[in-house]
Parts: sequence; C-alpha cells; structure tokens
Amino acid sequence: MSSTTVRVRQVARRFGSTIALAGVDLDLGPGVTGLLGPNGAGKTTLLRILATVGAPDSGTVEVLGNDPGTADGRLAIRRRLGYLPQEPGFHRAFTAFEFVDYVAILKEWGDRRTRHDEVRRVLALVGLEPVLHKRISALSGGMRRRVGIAQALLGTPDLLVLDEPTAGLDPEQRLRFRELLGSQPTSTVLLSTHQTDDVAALCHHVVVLTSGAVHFAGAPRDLARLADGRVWVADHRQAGAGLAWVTAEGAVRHVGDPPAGADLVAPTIEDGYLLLTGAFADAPAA
Amino acid sequence: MTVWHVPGEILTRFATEPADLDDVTASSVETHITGCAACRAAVATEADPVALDRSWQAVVDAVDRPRRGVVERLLARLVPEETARLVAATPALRVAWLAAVVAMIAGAVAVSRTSGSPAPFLALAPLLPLGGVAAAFMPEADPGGEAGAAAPMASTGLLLRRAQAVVATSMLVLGAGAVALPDLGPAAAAWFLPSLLLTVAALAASTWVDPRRAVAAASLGWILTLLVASHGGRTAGSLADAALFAASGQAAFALLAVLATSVVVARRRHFSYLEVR
Repeated sequence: MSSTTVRVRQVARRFGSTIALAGVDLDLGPGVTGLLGPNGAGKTTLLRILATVGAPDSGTVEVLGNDPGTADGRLAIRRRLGYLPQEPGFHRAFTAFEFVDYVAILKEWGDRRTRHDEVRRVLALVGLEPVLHKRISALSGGMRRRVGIAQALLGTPDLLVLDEPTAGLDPEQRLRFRELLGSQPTSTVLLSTHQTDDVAALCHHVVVLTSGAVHFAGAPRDLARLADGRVWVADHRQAGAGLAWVTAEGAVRHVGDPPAGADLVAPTIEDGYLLLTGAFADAPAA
Repeated sequence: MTVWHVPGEILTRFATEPADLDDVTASSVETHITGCAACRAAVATEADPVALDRSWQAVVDAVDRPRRGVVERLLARLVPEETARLVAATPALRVAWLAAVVAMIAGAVAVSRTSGSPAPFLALAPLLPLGGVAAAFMPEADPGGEAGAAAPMASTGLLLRRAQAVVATSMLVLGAGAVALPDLGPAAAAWFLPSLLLTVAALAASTWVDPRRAVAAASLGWILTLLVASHGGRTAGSLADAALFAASGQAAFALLAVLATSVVVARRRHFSYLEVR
C-alpha cells in the first residue's frame, strides 16, 4: 500500500461479558477492502469505531490522520467520511429525498440549490430517481438499502465505510452496486459483507475477522491460496471434510483434509474463508 | 381543417421578452402552447437556454423542497433554514411530545388547583425540560439515524442548540401553566430557577458521563431534594412554603445554575462520547 488511511492498534471493545473486539491490529490504504467474518465476529463494532459512532475500550485508532477519540479529530474525520450503518434507522415519515437531504444538511451542505443537486445526483447513482418522493416506509428493503448507500456517497468522501451494503439487494442491484463502487473516485473503501463473491469482484484487499481478532489480512487470491490442496470433489461425501456440499453439477465439493488420491480442484476465496472460520480453522494444512 | 399556430414574431417575443407582450396576448399564447406540441417545441428553440435551465431548476427545487412542520416554519423565522430543520428534528419539539407536555402540565395545574397549593406543579415542572433535553441527546431519536450521527454537524453544538430550543419551549409552556395556578404570588414562579438549574446541571454532568445518565441523576437529585424538603411530616401543600421555594432556596438555585453554566462553558469540548448502542 502506498499510504495508510486507517491504522488500528490493539483495539478492544466489550459489551458486558461479551468481547466484541479483542486486540485488533489493522492497516488500510487506498482501494477497496473487504471485511469478512461470521456473525458476531466484531465487524460492525469495528466499522462503528472507524465511523466515529463507537468508541473502543482500549487501543489506538487513526483515521485519515486523525484521532476519533478527540472532538477535533472526529470532526475532521466526519468531514471526509461516508458511512452506511448496518441499520440506518430511517425516519418513517421521511421520503427518500428528505432523508438524504437531512443527512446532507448534517454534512454541512448549506446552500439549498447545491445541496438538492447533490441529493438528486446520489439518488440517481443508486437508481432511485423514480421514487425520490416516496416515503421510506413504503419502499422495499432493497430500495431502503440503496437510500442508505446514496447518503454515504454524498460529497464523494475520501473514506467510505459500508456495513453490508449488498444485504437485501437483488442480483441485478448487486451487480449495479459493484459497477457503482468501481466508478467512485473515493480513495479508500471498507465494506463488510458475508458475500465472498462481492469480495472477489470488488476488493483488492481482504480482512477476515473472527472472535474479535484479525485472522487474515491480504489479497483475495492469498485467502484462496490458504485452501490450496485442501479442496476436492468426489461423487459422494468422503471422510476428512470439514464441510461438504453438492454443487450444481451434482458433484460433492469438500473442504478439509483430503484422502489419498483425492481429485483436488482450484480453491476459491470462499474455500479459504471456510477453512479459516470453520471446523478446520486450527488444523494444519494437509 | 386549418390548424392555427402562434405567429413566429409573437412566439419569439413570448420566449425572449415576455414582458413586452400585453397581458391578453401573453395569456392567449400561454393557453395555446399548453395544448399545441408544435408551438411548445418552437418556444423551446427560441428561449434562452440559460434562462430556461434556471427556470427549470427553480421548478425542480420547489417540487423537491422537503415539507416543513409548524415548529420548523416558526424556527425558520429566527434562524437559518438548515438550522431550523436540524433543531426541529428534536423529538421534544414534535407535536406529539409537546401535546404530552401540555397534558402533564394541565394535570399538575388541575391537581394544584384542587389541593389549593402550587406544590404539585412546582415539584413536576423542573422535570419536564429535563425529559426534553434527554430526548434531544438521544442519538437513536435523530431522523438521520446512525448515518447522521457520523456527520460533522452531529456535534455538541447541534445538541446544545436543540437543548436550548427544548428548554425555551418547555419554559414557555410551563409559564403558561403557572398563570393558571391558584396563587399567582412569587411561589408561582418558583419553578423557573430549579428547572434551569437541573437542565444546566445535567448538561454539565454530560461532559463527564453519558447524557442519559446525567439526566437520570439530575431527576433523582430533584426527587431526593423534594423528599428532604418535605421531611418532618410536611404536607404536600406546605411543601410550597419550604425554603426550597422561598427566597433563600431560589438564591441557592440561581447561584448553582451560574456555577453549572460556567462548567458547561469551560468543558463544552468534553461532552461525553455519544455512542449509539
């Protein structure tokens, strides 16, 4: 990476007896980074800390060269940040336009004419022009997600933090989102997702978080390589597999410790991810 | 059948110098072009594209302009439009909340009138602005949700402006309620300084702890103060005569309010982290 946009050192956060983050170290630079991890891994907690709406119990965080623990640092970060929360918490009575306009005011867009132009621009980017003046409560889940994405794009921020941006989007909208993100001039994007194909299509860097700690950080192809020699297909389920499932072709794909003579195949990002987070997480490579 | 169209010279003047046309001609042309696609197209080619774009933008802007509630329209007379929109978004300034406050004050006034003492009103009044301030500080209640909480203006300054608006509104409603008390003597105004103190003290405490805890502590403090003041078998009616609401008590409230205000000013950059949980 040519420069570091986000630097996280030994960040810990707990909620009561639940440990959400247990000493996370992370460096992010320009480009799109995917954050993968099972439910409860701490992804949302980490994103909220980076988006300045959550605070760590300990550790240090630097975002765009600023400390989110200080008022001045938070302000400086927020001026260059676009954030899509996991649950945006839309106001029921707002229309799509009114919601994004309200967030635009909070983002210091003072001049009404300019602000409205920007609101129309970002809503058009996510394909919501036909429903600008429809109440959010009347929109589908996918459309609401796109309203959330639109507000995050206001002002073309330097850092985009997106918590499960493709959740609830139909396949076409997911492709449109990939196209949109690929065309954004935003320099650093961090997105959490459960979709490994999103990571494969969008991200140049991937981080896997499990049990509140970083278990992998690197290129998506390196995540796939973790499963080199540990993915095979057969016509029936075989012993040694941590996970096995029937593919569309009718073969059984296995991830785990292959038996002798197994028909090994090229691993995908999903295979590497499953090895990291599944039953074989601590097993040595075969 | 011969179809009539607006003569070219008139159409040009209508498109470029409409003020030069007399009202009857201008109205006729306007009526005709709404039903004639050919003349509409001709106007479009004659009109100044810059003026046309400006006009269209003004129309779009008017159509897109968000609806404004009563409170926002009133606020917009005092502060910039954007500030009015942000301040009016405070839950404590919504009609439903204000209606609830009015109902509670009406209830306290009714009890006071029945008992012949302002004590019930004086005991309740300071808690109402506190509730409004608590709502103003609740990030979950902001229409921007968590996305708004990560925006630059979701700051202490905005929260304080909202708190001011809530306190000012509450005070106005309480003042109106106080006029209906059975005794319009000095005791009828004895709610003001405790209300001010509790609110400012809660804001001051918010520079150290979560604002919701600060408000809860201030409320508890007020209730304990009332219990201590009524200790010794005093009746609710005689609570109004306690030192709390007499000159000495009021002076203490004023002094403490000044102290709390100076703490808020000195520590305004230390408002506790407003985390959405």
